This record gives sequence, C-alpha cells and structure tokens, in this order.
Amino acid sequence: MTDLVSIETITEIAQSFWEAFLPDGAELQPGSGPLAAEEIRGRVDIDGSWTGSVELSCSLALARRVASAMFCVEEEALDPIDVRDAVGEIVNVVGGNIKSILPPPTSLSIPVVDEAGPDPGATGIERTGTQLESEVHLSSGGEPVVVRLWRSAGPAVG
Amino acid sequence: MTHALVVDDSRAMRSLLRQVLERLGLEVSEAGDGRAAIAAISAGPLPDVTLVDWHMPVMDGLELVTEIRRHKEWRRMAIMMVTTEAEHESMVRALLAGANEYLIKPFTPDAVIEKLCILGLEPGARQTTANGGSAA
Amino acid sequence: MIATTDADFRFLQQFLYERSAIVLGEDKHYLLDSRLPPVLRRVGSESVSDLVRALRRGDPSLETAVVDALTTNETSWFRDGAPFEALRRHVLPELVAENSLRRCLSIWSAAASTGQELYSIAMLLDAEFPEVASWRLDLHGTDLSTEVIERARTGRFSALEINRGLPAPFLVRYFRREGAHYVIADSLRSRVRFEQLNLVKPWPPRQDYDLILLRNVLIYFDEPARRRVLAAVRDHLRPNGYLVLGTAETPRGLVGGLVAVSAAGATFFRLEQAGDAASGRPAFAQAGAERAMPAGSGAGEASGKEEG
Repeated sequence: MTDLVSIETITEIAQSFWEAFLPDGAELQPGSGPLAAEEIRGRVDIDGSWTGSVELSCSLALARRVASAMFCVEEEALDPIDVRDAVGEIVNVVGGNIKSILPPPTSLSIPVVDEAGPDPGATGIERTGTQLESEVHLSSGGEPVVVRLWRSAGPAVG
Repeated sequence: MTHALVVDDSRAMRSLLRQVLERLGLEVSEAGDGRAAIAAISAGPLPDVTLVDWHMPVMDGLELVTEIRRHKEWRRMAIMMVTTEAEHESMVRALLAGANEYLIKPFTPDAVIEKLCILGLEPGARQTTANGGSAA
Repeated sequence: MIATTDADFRFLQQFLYERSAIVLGEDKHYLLDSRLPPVLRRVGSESVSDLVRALRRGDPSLETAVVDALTTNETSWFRDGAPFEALRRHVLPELVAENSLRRCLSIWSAAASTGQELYSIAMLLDAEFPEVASWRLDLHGTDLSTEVIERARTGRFSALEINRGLPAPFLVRYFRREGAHYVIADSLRSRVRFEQLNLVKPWPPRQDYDLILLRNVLIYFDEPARRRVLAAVRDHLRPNGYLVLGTAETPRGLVGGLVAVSAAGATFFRLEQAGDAASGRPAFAQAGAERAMPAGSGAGEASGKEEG
C-alpha cells in the first residue's frame, strides 16, 4: 500500500511548503541531516478509508527558523508557543496534502505538537497499534527534517 | 481600503497571510475559528473578503461558509477558502456552500494576489499595475 | 545575496545575449540571486565565479541550464486578467464569427513557457465557444527553453502552479488529480501542440495566425532583436488577426504596419489596412487608442547596448 503515497510525493509536498513559505533559498533537500540535539514533532491524524497519521519532526533550530519566517520576527523575539504553532502548520499542510492523495473519504485532525529529545521513545505521541509505512529524510540548511507516515491497523478492510 | 478577515486556527498562517495582504495595502483582521469569525463579522464593519481555513476547532471552515451564506446582508462579501483540502470533491463542496474562490496550501504570495484579482478585489499596491501609467 | 564581480556579470550578460538575444540589464542582478542557486548547486559551488569558469570551459548541458534558469519566466493562468477578459468578450467572439465559414482557428502562444497561456485559451474556447469544438483548431505554443516545452506537453502541474490565477471552477472542470499533481483534461491536451523555437533565430516555415500572443518577451531583447521579431510576427498575422503584447510593450517606434485597438482595458494590435486612417475598421474600438503605452517597450532594459 506504500505506493499510494510514494517517497517522491512526500518529498515534493514537503519541499513545496519550503518553496512557498520560506523565501530566499531555504530549500528542503532529500537526504539525512545530522541528528538534532533538540527535536520538535508535529502530527496530524487521518481517518477514513485510510487510517493513520503523518508525523513531521525537525530540529528545534530549524523550527525556529521556519517560525521566524512565518511570523516575520527575529528568532530571538519568538515565543516557544509560536514555534509550536509553526510546526503545527507545517504538519497540517504536509499531512493535508498527503491526505488529499489517499482514496476518499478521509478526514484530517487538528495538529498536535510535542517537543522531545532525539529518542523516539521520549515523545508523548502514542504509537501503539500503528506501523511505519514510509519514512522520508530531508534537510534544510544542514538541519534535519523527517516525515513519517504511520498506518493504523484500523477497521478491517474487506 | 479593502478589508480582509483571515480565519485560521494557526497563528503562524494568519501572520503569513497578514503580511501578504498588508503588503498589498489591505486592512487585515483575524479570527482563530469559525465562531470567532461570525462574531467579528457580526460586530462589523463587513469585510470585503474573508479567507477561510477548513480544519479549525469549534466551527470548521465549511460550516463557517454555510453560516455566512445564511446571512443575506453579508452577501456582497467574497469568501476564499485557504486550505490543504485539495480534492475536487472538497472544492465542489466549498463552492456549493458559497465560497467564491479556493486557494490550496501551500501558496506563494503571487497566488494570493491573483485570486484577489479573480474576485474583483484589485489590490492597491500591486507591483505591476494592469493599466501602466496614466500619462496621456 | 550572491556576490558577483562585475567581470562575471558582464560575462553572463554576453553569454545570455549570444544565445538568446536577451539583455540582462544592470538592474537585473536580483535575477542571479533568485535563479542561479539551483544551477550553482549543480556545479557544487556557491560562487558565480566557479559557474563562470565552468561555462568558459564549455559544458553544453550547463549552458542550457543557465539559459533556462535566467530566461524561464514565472507564468500563471489567465495572466494579468484584462487581456483574457478582452479575448472572451471581444476578440474571440469576433474571430469565431469571421471564421465560421472556414471553420478554422489558429492561435500561437509565442512565449508559451510551461503552457498556462495556451491551456487558458483552450479552456476559454471550450467553456465559452462550444461551436469551435468541431473546427480545425491549431493551438500552437513555442518557447526558447526545451525544458519548459517538455513540461508544457505533459500538461501536468504542481499545486503551487495550479494556485496561480486559475479560477476554481476551471480547476474542477478541466483538471484531474494524479498524485500530488494536476493534469489537464486529455480533451484539451490533444488540441494543443508545443515546440521549441528561438524567436531571434530564423524560423522554420509556419502558417499565419488569427491570434498571436507575444507577451513579456520583447522586454528582454535589445532593440534590433525587437524589430526583427516584431516584423516577423506581424508578417504571420492573418489579415483580420490580432496580436497581444505584454502590458508594457508596444510596436510603436519599432515596426510599422500595426495599429492599436483597445478592448476591456487591454490593448491589441492589428494589421494596418488601406482605409484605416479615414474610416476606421469595424473593430470594437478606435484605432487611435495608442495611449498610455510607454514609448519604446521596457525603457531602460537595453542597458548593455554599448558593449563591444
């Protein structure tokens, strides 16, 4: 079922967010960045004919850069809540665009955002009953971005 | 001065749209969900255009469009959906509910300008104006 | 901001001019900032000097990439609004009426880029002029860049591109989703053809057209190239045909034989005919409407003309 949403498509969707909203060369490129010391994650859930979630994690440094562009303020002037809001909107846009490719009907949740260390176990986001369907490693300005597509066992399909 | 109301639960997205619209010379107000938008519109003055996100808490964008179009006195206000809902089916639902235009997230600032033009809201501060100068 | 030495900038000016007759004005430094980074990454460098060195060594694919990067222009659906409104309300109804016996209509988008202009016309014809569906339609698009012509042929657009000026009802009616992309309906795609053409080089034989769109191209050329291209385009207009230029462009002072007519806030050009001055043609507006057009298109663009 992975071919429903290819790695290339996920990459392209994430890149289009950068291209549209982050001016001047702050591109998102395929390939792993270094592991981030401090990470921030956002997630949206998709429910319907396909059930699961889209998770985006990136370094806190990169999240601050994105928030600075979206709020049009210096990074020093950002409130932590601004940074979470910006990450919520990235995952909303990326997740929403992924959702729109899946067979209908599906619905999208409001994003949830969590700060965490590099250990996936440390996140507050529950992962029970889901399996990792795709994982896409990207980087922007040397900072890592990872998009994961989790599929829930969900209601029995045919 | 053209007045735009931006309705989105993301403050980052509202801020981004505000920057684009203010650069075009529009006056911008904001609401964080559908119900807050109804309150803002009721309080007046009537915006020329309302930009509506789809997924929001309390009252979502589609409900908001439906509610706005129940008010005959608000009919001259244009509505533009600004959302990640990119399926044709979603677009048709929004247009049938009374939205006039549809912008898919993510978008470039130029796309916002062009959609405003489609709605007949020629932004005042376009970098290239359609009529050149006025020199006779 | 990409640092560029004067010498490198002059090299790029000359390089671009030789390949496309496009003049990279002194005020166009920003183009290097916005367009060159992807090409720079290709040569694994952040410096324009490295790029210039690679170009001097000679690398045809890099040369194409640089020309494409510096000349490919942003494009949108129904670009600028007014010309399309005029096409819908005045020009196309007139052309369709005049050609109703011949049952032919030929339209050329001469700087077609990724195809939005020509596909916009195809949508407009389909939506508003159903009678032409059974005609012999030639909707022809050309562009300097082979890369954009390839893309135009696919009729496949990203969501970012689809957002640019396409009214939502047209999107729903004429496009289908394919993954994250939007693909134009086959019924429209089968009616258009695209091919690479360098306007400043000799053209292969071609027919005459009822409508030619040559928008926002002349501004990039120097004056001799403008004259040459405009004269050739004029000579490929059918007797009752229309030419559309960009809003800041005019043939005045460059070539004769064309008169301006205006409609719905847009200006079109037609072939001058013997009786014009006395009677005016049965067009929708006065031929004397050449007002408010800056003299000599894109004044100040041709800043490299003293070179050499």
